[in-house]
Amino acid sequence: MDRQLELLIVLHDLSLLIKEVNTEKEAGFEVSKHKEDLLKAKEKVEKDLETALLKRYEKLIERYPRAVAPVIDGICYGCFVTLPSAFVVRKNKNEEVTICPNCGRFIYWFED
Amino acid sequence: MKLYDKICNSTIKLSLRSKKRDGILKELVSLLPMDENAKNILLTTLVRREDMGSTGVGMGIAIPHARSLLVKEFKLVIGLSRKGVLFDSYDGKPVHLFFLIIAPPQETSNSYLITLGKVAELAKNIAKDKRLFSVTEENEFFKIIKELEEKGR
Repeated sequence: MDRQLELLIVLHDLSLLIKEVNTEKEAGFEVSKHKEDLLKAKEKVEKDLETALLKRYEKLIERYPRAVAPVIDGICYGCFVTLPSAFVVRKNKNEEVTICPNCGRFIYWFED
Repeated sequence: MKLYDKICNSTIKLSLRSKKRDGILKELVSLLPMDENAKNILLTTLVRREDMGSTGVGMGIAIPHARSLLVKEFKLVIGLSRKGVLFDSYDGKPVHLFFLIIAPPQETSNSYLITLGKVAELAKNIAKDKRLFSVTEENEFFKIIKELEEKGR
């Protein structure tokens, strides 16, 4: 997998973890320790990301709740539009960062 | 939704070997059908989550959980450590039974929260009964879960 794509996925999952702290509390879990470590980890990932990708990521999360979406059965799970077949037949799809031509989110493929 | 049905479709390992928290998480994640790279990312997320506060709910049970882009659908992995592992649970007791729950970020059925709640609810019965902490056969495991879940109704 492309290193930058991997960083985008890590950044996405980290943001989700930070965002869900309140839900966790409501469910009765203890989540008060080392919160600053999470923010630090997020900063580190943001630093390792290429500037253009980070800028795009930030713009996307202003507009959508999530900036990275999986592609399942040829459908972008961000906007639920079928991707052009040229995207689907490509090999090693996760070896580069790809953007959904419809919604502009970063997309990630599940290799079946 | 019955937890029993979900558990029958889950991955189970009744012989966890690790003696430490992170080792246990690694063993559980290794049972998921995904590539090594994805497993490592998921493991890091789970360790980060545990660092924020243990998912050990006490009584010898822990429910490590996270949402991640790396799974297509809801995943449940169950692991048993006969010896027990210190998991920083609030009651300080070693954990024997692990329910690892991984869900995709978007999920229409919201299985994630519902299952979390169900497992936490069942935990009390599991702890009281104690048979699940020393089970050796998967079939026996399913049978006891079914029994306990019906009892809890």
